[in-house]
Amino acid sequence: MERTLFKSMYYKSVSRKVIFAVVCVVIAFIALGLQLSFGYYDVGFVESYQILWDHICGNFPDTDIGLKKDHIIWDLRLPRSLAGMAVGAGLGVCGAAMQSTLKNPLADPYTTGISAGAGLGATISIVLGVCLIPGIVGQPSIVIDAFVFALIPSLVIIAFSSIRRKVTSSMMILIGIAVMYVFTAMTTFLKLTASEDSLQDVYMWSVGTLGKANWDNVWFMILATIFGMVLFIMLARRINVMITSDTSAVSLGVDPKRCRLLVLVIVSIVTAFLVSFTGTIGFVGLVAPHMVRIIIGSDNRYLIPASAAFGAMMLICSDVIARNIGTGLPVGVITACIGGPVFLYLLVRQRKSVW
Amino acid sequence: MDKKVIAVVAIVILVIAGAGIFLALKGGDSGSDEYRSDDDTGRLKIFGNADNNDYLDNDDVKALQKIIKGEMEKTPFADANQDGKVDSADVDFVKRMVNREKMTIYYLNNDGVVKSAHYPETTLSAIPNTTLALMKSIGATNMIKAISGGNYDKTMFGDLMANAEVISSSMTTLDLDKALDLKIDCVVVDYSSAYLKDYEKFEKAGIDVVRIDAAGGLDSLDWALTVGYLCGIESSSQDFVKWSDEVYDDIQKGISKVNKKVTTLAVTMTNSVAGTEGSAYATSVCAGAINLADFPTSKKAEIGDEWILSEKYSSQFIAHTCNYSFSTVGDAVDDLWEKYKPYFKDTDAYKAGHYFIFNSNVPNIIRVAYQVEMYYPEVFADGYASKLVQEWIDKFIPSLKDFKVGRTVSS
Amino acid sequence: MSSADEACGEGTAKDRMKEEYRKYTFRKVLFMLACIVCLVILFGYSLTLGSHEIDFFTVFTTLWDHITGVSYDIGTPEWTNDFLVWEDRLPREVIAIIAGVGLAIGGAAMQSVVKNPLADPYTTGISSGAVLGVTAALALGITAGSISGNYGIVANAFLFGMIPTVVTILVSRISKTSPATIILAGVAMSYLFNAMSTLILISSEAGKIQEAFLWQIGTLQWTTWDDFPMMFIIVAVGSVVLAFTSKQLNILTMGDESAKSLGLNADNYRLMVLVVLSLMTSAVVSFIGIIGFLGLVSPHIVRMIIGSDNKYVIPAAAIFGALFLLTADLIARTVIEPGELPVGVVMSFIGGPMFLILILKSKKGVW
Repeated sequence: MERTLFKSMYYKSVSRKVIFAVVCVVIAFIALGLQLSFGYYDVGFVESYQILWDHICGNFPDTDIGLKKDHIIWDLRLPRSLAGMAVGAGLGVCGAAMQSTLKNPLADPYTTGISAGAGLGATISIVLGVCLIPGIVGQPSIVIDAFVFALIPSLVIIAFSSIRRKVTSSMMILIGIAVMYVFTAMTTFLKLTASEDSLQDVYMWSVGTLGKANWDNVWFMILATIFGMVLFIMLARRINVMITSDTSAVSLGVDPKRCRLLVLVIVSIVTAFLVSFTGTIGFVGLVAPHMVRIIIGSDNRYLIPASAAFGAMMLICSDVIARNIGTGLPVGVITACIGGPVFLYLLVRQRKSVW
Repeated sequence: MDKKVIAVVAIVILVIAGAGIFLALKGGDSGSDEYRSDDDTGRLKIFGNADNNDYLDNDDVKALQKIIKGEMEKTPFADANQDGKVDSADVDFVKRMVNREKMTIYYLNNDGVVKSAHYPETTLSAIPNTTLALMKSIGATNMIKAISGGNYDKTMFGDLMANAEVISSSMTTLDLDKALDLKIDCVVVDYSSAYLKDYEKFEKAGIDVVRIDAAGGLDSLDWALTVGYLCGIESSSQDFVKWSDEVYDDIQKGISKVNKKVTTLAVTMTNSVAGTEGSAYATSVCAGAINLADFPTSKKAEIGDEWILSEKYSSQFIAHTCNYSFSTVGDAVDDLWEKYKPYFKDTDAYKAGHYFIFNSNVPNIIRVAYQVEMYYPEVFADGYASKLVQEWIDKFIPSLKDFKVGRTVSS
Repeated sequence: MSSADEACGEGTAKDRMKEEYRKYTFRKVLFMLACIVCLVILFGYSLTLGSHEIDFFTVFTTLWDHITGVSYDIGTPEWTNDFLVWEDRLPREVIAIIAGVGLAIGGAAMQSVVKNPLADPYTTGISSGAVLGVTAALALGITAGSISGNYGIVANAFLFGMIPTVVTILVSRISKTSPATIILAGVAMSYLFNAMSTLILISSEAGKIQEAFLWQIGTLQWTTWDDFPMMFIIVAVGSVVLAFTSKQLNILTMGDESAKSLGLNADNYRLMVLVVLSLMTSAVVSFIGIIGFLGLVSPHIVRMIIGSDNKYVIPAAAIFGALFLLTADLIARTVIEPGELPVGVVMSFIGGPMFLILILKSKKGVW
């Protein structure tokens, strides 16, 4: 009797979490639909799906306008929507992992200095015109530089951990902050010597936009996100254990230092991939896990996939809004505008502690 | 019979002489002493320029006297000594100015503020590079003794850098200590507040800070004249303005022959489509095109933006000014092309082969020339603009004499 | 007194205690004196620095002459010396000291209020507010009271910088004024204001981004005597207030309950401290931009040497902060020839490695 009651309670709680995740995914796909049809360039709702279908079937239009519409739907909006979902999911997942591993509600994927690194890389490419692989210019050069420099802070943390036996989560944050100081200083210095043009380019890059997604680079983002999601779901149990404390973790068979470093490496790689294409889109990694936590609690086995779903939904909805305000805004602005009020709300609501 | 012959010969001689005098007065393209601009829109922004033309001379004294008597409306630059009224004190003031005496005079800067200056300025500094380029064009190269740090195009400014000392580490600042040591008495600077933020200190130290707009459209001619006057090099600055005016007239004549105007969008920097308040907009209109931008401040055309693909902004041409340094030739231009084309490759203009990038590091009138060459090839032959650049270099920038101009690239 | 003197044993214990206490305070006072001496020396030295070299003796005579009212004609070398020393270098040094004091005390106070060793004066979002003020003034032409030009921008930065504090106070009326509330409110305000600045900048004319960027970099390059009065008054008053209430700051760190039992209304006191340090920080930031790291690290270094008693930490941090900023400014002025780096950049360059060293050396749980 007790057992069935207990079982039903358990199933109810689990199903609640699953339903939440599914709802998020559904909304994301609806948003994708909206994303394809709405935009500055007006293509009707039905027409856009028609064009999509035609394209898949291999019928290409032969009028100029038809070609343009096909190009817009297929080459601009579709990869952008897919990128939106992939980047949102990736950032959400990384954010959840970071917050759990660092035991800090204000952590996000950029906490350990990744955004400062990527920013420095992009600035070097834009202001100095230098790419780490000589001879490449333009957008690919920005991507490569941003990617490589985004990884440096994590390398510093790993280097530190090989010197000291004990690497606590606060230490990781602090090393991240220290690296961030130095990188930001270098970036500021470069920006001082930059011309007006370059300074503006650097600024626009750092706001974060999904517009640069196309069929060449969207695969990287999708693969990186899938890589991150799979690995974190596998690590979810261990992360759960680490939330308690280092000593309990050891007693339960989890090496906290190694686990932390592993999480750091995965977050760095995934985030670096995403950031180098889109710029530093903020808040998704910070807010998604928080909102999810309010609804389904802190169990990482559900938190991580649900953060992915919520993050995807959040980013693609933000992008729909961003693209349709005036002649379009970078999505980073919209996510930033969401972040502030959400935090204030969380603040006022601060009753139960979810930690 | 002889008398008739003599009479005929005399008449012929008279006619020829008359025709000769007539032609001489009309002025050819040489003989700058004969040339006199008749612009009266007040390009010379010096107080005392009472007749609002390009010159400060006895005509201004006469105009002042007319204003005092009430025969003429008061002009913006009539109050020469800035005491609030137009009276005989101003007449005396302007007479001293006409004598080119060493004195304090007043001018209007780009922000519309009345400023004082010592006439004549002798030792200059100028920031940033657009201002320097203008100073070179008006012949002030030898007066510049200090420049700021930052990346300078060595080809263009090589001679300047040989004469002048670098006195700061970034393009937007100047070191006051060094400026005082070098006895700089005037800094010519771009109007943006990012440049020379500590200008008040400079002014307190007795250094005039002249804010101008060198990069903008045809306004830069105003500053060519004004700065030329302040530095006492009027004849070379007037040469430059005269040349610009002639090119402008030539272009306008060509445009008047065109039947149908083309539509265009003007782009500056990486991807800023100029709005109606921007100088690039004015330049494109000057080139006889219809600019489709209907927003006031510039809008960015990011990769993936759709607004630039819509019918409303679908122009026939897209004119993108780029900062070619004078070291940018050959492959470097291709690099620029690679950098900028992703932003516009989906537009109709690009697909029709009408998206082009061209050099912005030239006087504004040549930027107009680059555009008309692309818009109206039926009137302006291929190479029209490059020829003008060569002319400009030959006349005003001798240090670039052996230089080959960076080409315009189009899709 | 007399009953204590009666017992011989107690007498000597008391003397021993007095002796220990004197040693305890002696070390702290010694540290502060050492800092002051260094400060004075550096101050004098930095007046001689610059592309136009003026030796120490000339600086002295120039200052003396200026104070006694001797003036020179423009263009003479004496005039140049007088101008440079008095109008260019002296205000710069004086403002560096004021800013150093303001930021360091702000950092020490914030760390006590929020009970978080990573707090600095900008934790409540003042820097984002100031940036928004500057952006609004430059790009939209919106200035409080329609003051134009430089003053308008400074006034804007100051007022907008105070908005996050006001919001924090409002929020604390709804929920309690716990340290977590303050931090979260600060973070939320930072995000919000950064978003608004970004929105304004990307929709405005091209050159505005550069102008806004240059305004917010922390630098002492453009300081003049005009900046002095406001900054001096606010920082002086603020420092005195905080120094006199340092005992209460000590109590705060023990926790709200203990505070109540000692007669201190923790919430109200926290708000008061917050307002004072926001005023100080906002004043500093509006005139010289955002200089990071100083407010964070000065209190820590000071605490490492003289312990955590706020009665000594506050004044010591003030002096050390001034010394630190002056040194950084010296480096900023001399490291590149010609020209200089902004002191904010130099601070961050020093800051990163110093931070790492502090982390490595942290045996006791300062963190």
